[in-house]
Amino acid sequence: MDERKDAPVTPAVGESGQDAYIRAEVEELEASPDYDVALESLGQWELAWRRFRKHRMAIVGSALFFTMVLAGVVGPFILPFDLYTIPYPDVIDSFGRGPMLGHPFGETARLQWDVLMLVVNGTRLSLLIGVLASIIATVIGALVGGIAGYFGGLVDTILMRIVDSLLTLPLLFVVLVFTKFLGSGNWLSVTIIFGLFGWLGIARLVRAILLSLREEDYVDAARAAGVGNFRIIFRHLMPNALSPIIVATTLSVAGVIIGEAFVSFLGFGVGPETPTLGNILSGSQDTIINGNWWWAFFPGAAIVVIVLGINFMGDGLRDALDPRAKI
Amino acid sequence: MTQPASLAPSPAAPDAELPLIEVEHLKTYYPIRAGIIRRTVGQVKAVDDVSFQIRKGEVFGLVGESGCGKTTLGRTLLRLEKATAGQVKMEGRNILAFKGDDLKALRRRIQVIFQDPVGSLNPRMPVSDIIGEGLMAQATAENGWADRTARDKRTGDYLEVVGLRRDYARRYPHEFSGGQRQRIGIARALALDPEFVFADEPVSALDVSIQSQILNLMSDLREQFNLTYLFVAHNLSVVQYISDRVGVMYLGKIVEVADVADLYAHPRHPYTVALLSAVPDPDPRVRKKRLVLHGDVPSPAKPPTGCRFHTRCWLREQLGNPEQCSAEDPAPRDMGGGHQVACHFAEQVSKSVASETIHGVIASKTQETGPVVAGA
Amino acid sequence: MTTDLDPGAHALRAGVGDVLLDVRDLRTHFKVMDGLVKAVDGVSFSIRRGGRLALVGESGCGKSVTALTIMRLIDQPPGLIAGGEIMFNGRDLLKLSDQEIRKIRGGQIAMIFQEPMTSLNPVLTVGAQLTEAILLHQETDKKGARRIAQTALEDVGVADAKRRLDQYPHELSGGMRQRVMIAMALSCNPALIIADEPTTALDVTIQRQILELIKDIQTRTGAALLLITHDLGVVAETVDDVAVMYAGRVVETGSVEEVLLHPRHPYTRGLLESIPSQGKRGKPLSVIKGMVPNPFRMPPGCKFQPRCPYQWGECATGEAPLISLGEGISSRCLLHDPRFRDRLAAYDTPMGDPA
Repeated sequence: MDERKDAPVTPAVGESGQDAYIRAEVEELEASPDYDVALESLGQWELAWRRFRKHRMAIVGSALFFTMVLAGVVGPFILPFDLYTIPYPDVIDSFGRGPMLGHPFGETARLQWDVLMLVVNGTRLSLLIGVLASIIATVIGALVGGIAGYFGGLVDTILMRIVDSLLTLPLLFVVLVFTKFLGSGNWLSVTIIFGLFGWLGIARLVRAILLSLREEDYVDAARAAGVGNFRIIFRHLMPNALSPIIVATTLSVAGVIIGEAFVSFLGFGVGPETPTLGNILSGSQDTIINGNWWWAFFPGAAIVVIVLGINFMGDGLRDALDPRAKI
Repeated sequence: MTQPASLAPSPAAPDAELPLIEVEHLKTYYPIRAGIIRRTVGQVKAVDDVSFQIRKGEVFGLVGESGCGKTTLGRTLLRLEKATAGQVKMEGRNILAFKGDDLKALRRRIQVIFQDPVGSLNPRMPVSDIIGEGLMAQATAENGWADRTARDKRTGDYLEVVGLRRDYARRYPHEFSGGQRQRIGIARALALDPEFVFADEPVSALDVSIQSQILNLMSDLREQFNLTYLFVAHNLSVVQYISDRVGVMYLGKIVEVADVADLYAHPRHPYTVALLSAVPDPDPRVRKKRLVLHGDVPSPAKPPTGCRFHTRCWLREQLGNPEQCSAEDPAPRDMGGGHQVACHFAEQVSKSVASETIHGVIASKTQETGPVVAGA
Repeated sequence: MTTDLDPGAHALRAGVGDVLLDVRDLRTHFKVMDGLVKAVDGVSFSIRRGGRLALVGESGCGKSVTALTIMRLIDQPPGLIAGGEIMFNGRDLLKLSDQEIRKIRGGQIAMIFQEPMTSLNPVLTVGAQLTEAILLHQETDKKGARRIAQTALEDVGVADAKRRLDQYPHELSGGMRQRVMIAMALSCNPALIIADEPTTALDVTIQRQILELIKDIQTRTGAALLLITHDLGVVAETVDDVAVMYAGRVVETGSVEEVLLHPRHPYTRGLLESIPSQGKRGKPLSVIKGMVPNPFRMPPGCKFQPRCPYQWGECATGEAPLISLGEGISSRCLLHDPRFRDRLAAYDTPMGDPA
């Protein structure tokens, strides 16, 4: 034990008792064994990561999802096939060929494309559409929901009635109609349409969060210091709403991928010249009755794996980012 | 940083000082909305026709029970709530009418310390931003706060002022204890160089041993920075310790204002007597005459007619329920020495009743007195 | 962990046959990701039949966990009752089966919680909640239970009790809800009432009503009271005996007069001295420096030592047992070890500057 602590705190000359006390307290704190605990204390994201790591399903989900991302990003470059080179058919075959050496996912009927090559390219585009559309939706949703939730009152009423009326529309049919008229076949326009119609849920979510967050004292503190409204919304409040937004965005990626598959399967989405998981499935539908299962199975399985992965990951994120969760 | 003034803390004599804040007939009502078109069907009169002054350099304590409007009153002065009517003057100008640049400049002069050490600091911001955000909003050419390094320097300076280390600026709120967070909240307020600080229950959420640390800090800073405090609390011993003058609120009205010693020695309003009497005394020898108020505080949406306290008033009961109490709203009157009371029968509250019920007598355990309802 | 608890130091044991609740060396720990939190680590106290004891301490000292452990309301895991016994009416509550403890809980031991809003079910009427408890613990039919419920409400000063039975919790004020909670606690004639910060959420004038009610009922029914609070004022007015807790331990016990007027432990003295009052106006309040130790890094030796103005080298290495000073008074401080009598003389000088 050091001797210093034995002596009572005596105020130094020119210092008030309070200052001496504060100084003594700081020194005491630094000397005390629990001082470095505060130093080591983890950031929120580190804590979240620790919780996420403990979530087995989330880890499995992330593994599935990132495997598919990897396949989509790297696959097209390492596979010995080129998407835009139509292979010279060695056998004219309306049935296609099942999985075999060299073509582990089999070949399609008619043009004899390698199904693995199609799935890899389709995965890439489906993921791209899902992620981009979700980002667009999140940005719009956060903007609308943030403004409605922070300002409340009339602004909130007007914005939310707009959201409500848009929500009454059956989204997939609207998307069908829009893709039909606005450049059907182009993947970018499909993405934008999904983005433009996908923000409603996120807007509601963000509004609800901000309605409660704006009651927090730190918002009043910022207002009392003269910080502007938009800075309060986007600098002070949004970071606190980030966790649920991240979860919602993650899950919406899965939603868009399924939606796009659905639309493309019906022939209204992305055209066959750029394969997505949906339009690959669409191409397979005539031959499936002939027992040509591999053309439909592998892209279908890819969708299931991606969506399952994202959902598991989303659940894990939800638990990990919940500040009330136990450490 | 300013060298801390060497001091033996003593309350500044605020007498003869100019009022810093003059509140005149202030009303803050909240609409009660109902139905699908959110029609206003009534009003919660959170602050209802309140007038008082806060003198430069004093600590004005405001006490009352939850829902009495004390926090709303402070928030209205801070321009965080919209006043329904009335004026709040600072240097003769009505600050409730301030807009734009005036309002922004006002925000620097009036600052706030909150009750909840958890909710008052943004969990996603490091301390440097928590304090720096206000500086950035108030940046001008003279103070140079638009510059990040200037802000960081000032943040560090003020962390030291409140007894924390400069390098705490990099950390996030969850890394601190309740008392330390409250210090950060105080640093945030003081970094803007305010003259007037609204302290909204600043120690209520803290443990006793930490509470005294923060109270000492606040007293010290008041000397050091020439601050005027509006100190809102429900803990009457805390208010008694720190305040120079005290206002007592009940259901949106200030029922009594007096110098702290005068108020605790001889309260004139029956509610103040009951409130002070209700405080449990940590000295087990003290035997007080118990004054138990019946019933609950009425809803501020439907306050009683006449004097708002008449439904629970022990004095009215004692006087045989005079008509005047339920019919006429008592106007505040001066009982001498700046002691203002809003009660028709304030003269009937004798000093002896007050001292028996509030201070009690030191008695041995055998002479235990049971609960006594004054007036019964 | 040093636990050289002096068995004779059992503070408030006034005649063994008289003891209703006897908690001995209780240890309740929690396993969390960062390690083991020893929330309650060696707590001993006892209450006589009809006695009134307050467990006092600041947040995190383990007083509420102690109460929950007595009620066997600790979830295991993460909780872990690592040791000790809770003798109630001669039976160890920790050894009872779930079925047996359910009979005692709400029957012979009743609990009043801090937050009257969350401790009542918002979707059930007051009457439904009251009669449910009565039917569970008493031999009566629905009608009889309702009658008992109504009397119970009247007993706690609820006006218009019959109508209140059909109301929902949100229709009642905070004070009224706390009265309902008390009525619920009393409806089964408990031998022990545990009140966990019963007035903390209430305003002073309502707190006054509830405190008077609890005292009144306690004398009327002869039930023992275990009051858990941080407010020394409430303690002074409500109970006969006090046990002060710090960092999971009882550090001082004694009668109210002894503990509040002549605190034997430096922590209790520090707490009392830091209470603001008018007499201290203009002077800085005395403070307990620093803060409560981090539960993962408890200091070796005395847990209060890093904050203690009286500490010396010995304190950092050895933790004192709860040293009995006679008449139920005890203190967990080395100052009361006969070896350090000269230091105690310095402590015994009137409250004020430790130097």
